[in-house]
This record gives sequence, C-alpha cells and structure tokens, in this order.
Amino acid sequence: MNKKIFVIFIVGLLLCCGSGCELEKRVYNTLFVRLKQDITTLDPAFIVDVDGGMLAAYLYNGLVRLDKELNIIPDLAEKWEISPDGAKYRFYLRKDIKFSNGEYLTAGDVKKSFERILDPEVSSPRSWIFEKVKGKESFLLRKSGEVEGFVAVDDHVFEIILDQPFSPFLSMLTTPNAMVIKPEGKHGIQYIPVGTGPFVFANWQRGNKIELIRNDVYFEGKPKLEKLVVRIVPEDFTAITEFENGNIDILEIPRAEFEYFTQYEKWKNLVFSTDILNTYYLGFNCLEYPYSNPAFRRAVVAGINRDMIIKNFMNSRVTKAESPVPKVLIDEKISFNPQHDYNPSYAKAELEKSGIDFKNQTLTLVFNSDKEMEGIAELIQHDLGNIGLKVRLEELEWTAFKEKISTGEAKMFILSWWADYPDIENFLYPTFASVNWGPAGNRVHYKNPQFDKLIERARTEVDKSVQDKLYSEALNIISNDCPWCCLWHKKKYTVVQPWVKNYFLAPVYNVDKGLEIKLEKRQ
Amino acid sequence: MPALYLFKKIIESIPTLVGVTLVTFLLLKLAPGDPVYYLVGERVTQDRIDSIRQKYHLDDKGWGSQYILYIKNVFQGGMGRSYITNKTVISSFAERFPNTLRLALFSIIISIFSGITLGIVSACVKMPFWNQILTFLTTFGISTPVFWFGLFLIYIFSRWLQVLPASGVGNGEIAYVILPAITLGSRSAAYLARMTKTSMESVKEARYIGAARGRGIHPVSIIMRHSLKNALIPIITLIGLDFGSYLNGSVLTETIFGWNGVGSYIVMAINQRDYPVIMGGILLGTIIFIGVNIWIDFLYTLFDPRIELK
Repeated sequence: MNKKIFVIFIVGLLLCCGSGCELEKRVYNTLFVRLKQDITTLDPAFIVDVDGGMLAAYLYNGLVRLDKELNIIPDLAEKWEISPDGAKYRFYLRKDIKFSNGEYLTAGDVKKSFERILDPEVSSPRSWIFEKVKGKESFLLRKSGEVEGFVAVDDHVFEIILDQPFSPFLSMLTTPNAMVIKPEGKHGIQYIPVGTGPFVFANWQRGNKIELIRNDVYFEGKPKLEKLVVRIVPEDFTAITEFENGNIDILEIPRAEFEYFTQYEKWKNLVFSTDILNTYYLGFNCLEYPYSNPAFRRAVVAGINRDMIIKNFMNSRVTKAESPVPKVLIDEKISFNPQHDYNPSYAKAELEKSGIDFKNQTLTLVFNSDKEMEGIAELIQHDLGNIGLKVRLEELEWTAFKEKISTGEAKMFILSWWADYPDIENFLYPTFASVNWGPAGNRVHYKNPQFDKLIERARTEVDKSVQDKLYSEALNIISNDCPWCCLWHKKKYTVVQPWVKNYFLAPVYNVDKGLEIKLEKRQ
Repeated sequence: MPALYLFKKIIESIPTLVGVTLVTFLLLKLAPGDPVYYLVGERVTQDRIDSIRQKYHLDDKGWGSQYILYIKNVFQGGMGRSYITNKTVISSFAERFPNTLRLALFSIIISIFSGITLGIVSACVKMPFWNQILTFLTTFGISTPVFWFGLFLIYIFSRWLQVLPASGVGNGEIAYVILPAITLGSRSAAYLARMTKTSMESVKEARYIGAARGRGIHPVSIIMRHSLKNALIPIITLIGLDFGSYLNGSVLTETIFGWNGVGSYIVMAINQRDYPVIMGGILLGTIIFIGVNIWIDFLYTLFDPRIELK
C-alpha cells in the first residue's frame, strides 16, 4: 500500500511541475491595479473609504463631478442653475443616459437615490450630505414618505431645495455617496446597484479581486480599456514583484520602496505624484487639562520641529501644513497667519505664560501602531523634551485607537483628516465647529463661540468676497488657538508600466472615470 | 465499534465547542475596540452611530444576553452575518474554504513526501557527510521564519526566474499553489523528517527486524513494510495536527502570497472587530480540528491493528 501512495505522490508532484510552467499570458486590454486591502462596499450609500470611492467613480455618476483642477463640471446634469438666494438648485439631466440594465435615467431615479441616503432604514453613515435639504426632518421622523426638497419636475429636470443657502453643497454632490443608482428596494451594505458609469460590475471575489467590464453604451463614449481588474495583494514585497513582472499596471509606491522607484533609472520617469486633500495633525483634547489652555497648546505647536521631521525622516515625501486646509482649497483672496513655526524660545515663553506646572506632568501621546508613525512620535517626544515637557508614548492598534479617541480618553494623538469634497469648509466646519464634537469630526472638542459664528456664516454666505473674509478670520482664530498642531499633507505616489498611456493622478480619488487610459504593447 | 466511537467523540466535543465560543466571546468583549468605528468613517452623526449599534444589537443590555443571542444564531445554523459585508458567516467562509483546503492539501502532500523521504534516508544512510547535510536541512526548515522563506521563494521563482506567479489564487491553476504550499509545508516537512528518523531508529533494533533480515527479505521491503509501518503512529499524529492547523488557515503564508483563505480573513475580521465572523471562524476551525483528530484515530487502527477504538 505504501508503494502505491508513493507512486501517487510522485506522479502528483510531476503533474504540478508540468502544469506550473504554462502560466496564463496576460492580455493588454485589461488594466490591473493593486489594492493593499479589500474594500468594504460598492453601494454609494455606505462608501466611506478612498478606494471604494475610486471604484464608485467607474460604476456610477453624480449630477456633477470634478475635473483634474477640481472644478465642478457636468456629469449626469448637462447644466444647472442656482437661484439668486442660493437655496434652490435646478439640474437639467442629459436625455441620452442609460443604466447598464438598459433603462433610461430619469429625475425620479435621482430623487429615489438621494432619499435612500436619508432613509433611516438604510441608515447610511453619510446622511449629513443632505442635512440642509428641505423636508429632511419629517422624512426622518417618517411623517412624510418623501423628501420635500427633492423635486422631480419632469423626467429630465431635477430640483433640490435647501432650508438656507449652503455654499459647499454643489461640491458635496460630487462625493461617491451622492452618485445616482437605479434604486430597487432597500438593500444592505452588500448590495451592488446598477449604475450609469463607464464600467459595469462583473465579479468580486472578496479578499482576492474585483473585476469591472466596459460599459459599451456609456454616454460619453466607451472607455478604451475592455476590463479593469483590482487585485488585492496585502504584502508590499509581493506586489512589487508582481509589478516588476508586469502583472500589475499601476502601483501605489509602498513607503519602503520609495527611494528605489524614484531613483532607479528604469522607473523614475514613470513615477507620478500629486498632493491629495488631507491633513495629518497632532490633536489636543481641548476639554482636558493642560490642553484646555491655549498658551500651552501654542507652546507644544512651536516646540515641534516639523521641517526636520519632514526632511530628514520622511524624505520630503509630504508637504508641510501651514494651516488645517490644504493650499489648493484656499482662495487667493483669503489671507491669514500660518500656524506658529518651530521656535523653542517662544515655546518656552508660552509655557511660562500658561502658568501650568509642566515639570511635574507627564503627557501621553497616543498613536496608531505603524512603523513610520512610531518614528514620528519619537521625534515629537524628543522635540517636546527639549522645551521641558515629558511625553510618554502609547501605541495602539487601529480600532482600539479609534475608540480611545472617540471616548475622549486620548488627550494628545496623531490623526488625519481626509477631504470628503474639495471645499475649504470641509476642513474647518466638521473639524472645529462645536456642534461637531466627537464622531462628526471635531475630535479635539474645540469650542470657540466666535469661530462657530464665523464658520456658520461663511458656509451660508452667497457673496464670495464676504465669504473669503469670513474664512480668513476663521483661519486666523485657528492659527492662534492651536487646537491642532498641523503636521503635513500626505502626497500620493504611483508608478505605472511603460505601456500605460494617458494616465493621470488627481488630488481627489474619484476624478478619474477611466475613459482615457489605455495600454499599448505589442504582444 | 466505529459508529459508537464516533457518536461518543461527537458528544465529547460539545463541551469543548461551548468552551471555545465562551472564551472567544469573552476575549472579544474584553479587548478594546468597536466595530462601528470601522463602518462609519471619519464623519458621521451620533444618531446614525446609534442606529447602526441598534441594528447589530451592539447596545444590548448585558454580555450574557449577547452571548445567548449568538448561541441561538449558531443553533439556527446561520452563525449570524458579518457586520462589514452583511453576508452570512457561513457563506463568507464557504467562499474561502476551498482555497484553504487546496493549500492545506498541497502543503501536507509536500511535507509528507519530502519529510518522510528525508527521514527514511537519514535513518538508513550511514554516511556522516550526508547525515550532516540532512540535519542542516531539517534545522533550516524548522528555524526559518515563514515570512522570510516565502519572500525568498518569491524572489527566486517569481522575480528572478519568472517561472511561477508571486501571488493570488489564479483560476485554480496549480502553478499558483506551488510556492505557498512549499512555504507552508517546509516547516512541517522538517519536523516530519526528524520524527521519521527517530521513530525508524527506535524500531531498527527491534527483534522482528532482525528476524526479517534473517528470513532474507529485501532491505527496501524491510524499511518500507517492517520499519516504517511500525514507526508511523507518531508521524501520523504530527501530520494530523499540522493538517488541522493548515485547514484553519495560515495567516502569514496567505498574506505574503495574497492567498484568499480563511486565515487572513479571520485576521482581517479581528482588525475590524467583526464579531460574528471571528466567532464563526473560530467555531468552524474547532469543528474542523476535532474532525481531523477523529479521522486520525481511525488511521491509527488502519496502521496498527492492536489499537482499538472504543
């Protein structure tokens, strides 16, 4: 019997080797992209992550969308009008738009898609994008079966009525959550709706790959690619090998291999980079002693040598932050004082001024466990040690970290804020207005009545010049109060294969519709 | 009586299963973290957080009632749904288990084949040089970390020679399973080699071997039929343990090779605090482990008729 087993083993092993040599040849009408981790959902109502938003842009369209320069351009709506009081938006939908199931898009579909976001039964975490829409309350309390502010005037005219003017609203309509689907009843997070986008969903093997195929009847003309495959490859080294072997076309450059790709002759001309809209910050829980003291916060801010960390530790891979808002979103007419720069003597003076007995205090810096973050935290610890502050480091796994921040237990922490839509308001209102304490974005529990008033006025102001002035003042308050020590804006770096043509990298993940990109390689 | 034995074993396993779910549940509840934070992103109103909690019964009164709810779910066969994907736990695992099974089978085949062969050779060959080589190989196999060996194989076979794919499960082609299986199986192969060697050496001096020699039986037949068969019991035990753990997924190997199996899935679930998936995964894993053990017990009787299952 043993002999038989042995023979079977040998034959089996030979078979393995025999078939191993014939690998499937890759085709060059399919684009392969790598993700480190699988996405959670493809339902616009539940997308909260960047990668999910990127794929949503291929599958669905919004009423409007962003171009590479972050201007708002027509998408499903060919044009739109905003009433002089700024509270009524009228969208004229294109008449030639079909869902991938063949049905024509109507204003009724838009209405249903939007109501779905507010529906308590669906319980989308992004209901706030329509918080200003008229009739929202009675819909939420189920007094009304529809939202009064969403009006399908006829099949191709859609109106949104707001309670009051709201300047970032059009920009909010570019988010993946405001993308239009063919609504078919109420579904959960696992639902993959029918859309109008340039690609159609084909297959999703969770944890392995997601496949999209070209939508041949896309209203702006069909994409040049036939297929788009997202491969989930968790290990960086493996992903790089796949890229080097030509099995992945676009690779976000892993941190550890940054130097290799940007300096090696073969790849350095194929590296793309862009500023993306985010801000990394050191947050202080403003309710807790000693962080409740603005002079103390200013001292910490001025005590940290950000230039050194960025240049020597991060190889200048990031852009230094002057304020909570990335530069591209700040209008030229907005002028403000940037955050205090590194100045140890000023920091020490502020510490004295604060009247806090800092010599007997040990501060705790909480951060998410990550190799790079560890180094950054140590550098911050060192810098603050130089001005006389004792800092203890506490490294936590992501979910535990998030919980500690949400409960307010973390008093000083490193976190980041990522744009939902490209508007200055998105970096000031959720993060610093006192109504947004906690999970709504104001993680530092900052409260300044003057700032609250300014930001509330700024977001509802119709006159651009008045608005710019309000934002200037608001930014100055933040620079002076220092609820955050703004660290940097992270950039995105990708490297592409030489056969990838028409590739571009935009500051926002959902700009690319995948229409232009193509692969040119003789097989 | 095998049927009776099987029945007895199944009854015996019930306290184990209850214990496992209870310990897992307590550990999860004691660990910091909350699945809601994974679902909602960075900007959300408190109302929506509350309604999501309600939907998943995360705000239920006590741990006791949550545990009872879970056990109820298990007995209804569902094991609940993943918080993250809303898919049933069973179907989520069913999607990945074939991959894990394939990897486990190939790994165990590789480790049995190479481990036992090496063991026999090193027990029978009496040449110091070759024995040292074999000792080196087994020490290497036991002490090399999986992640290092995996990356090493990727470097050699995918990046340098470009003959085998570095990651993914492909469409089920065998080429994809070779590197992960070697990585996963190497360690157990090394253990098996050592075990085989010592086992074989311990029976070599037995009188029945001498008797067989005296009868003029061919040396190969003595090794395969007389020595190996009698040395097999500890080897089978080891194979069973390894195979059971392979079927529970192998996190490092799966991560390195982008192999979509149950091991990396459970780790992802732990990171996301996806309680139903973690609980379900550990429960299914325990069941598989118990199953493999029962099966190994049957194998014992096959190779050693003196062993009886009661």
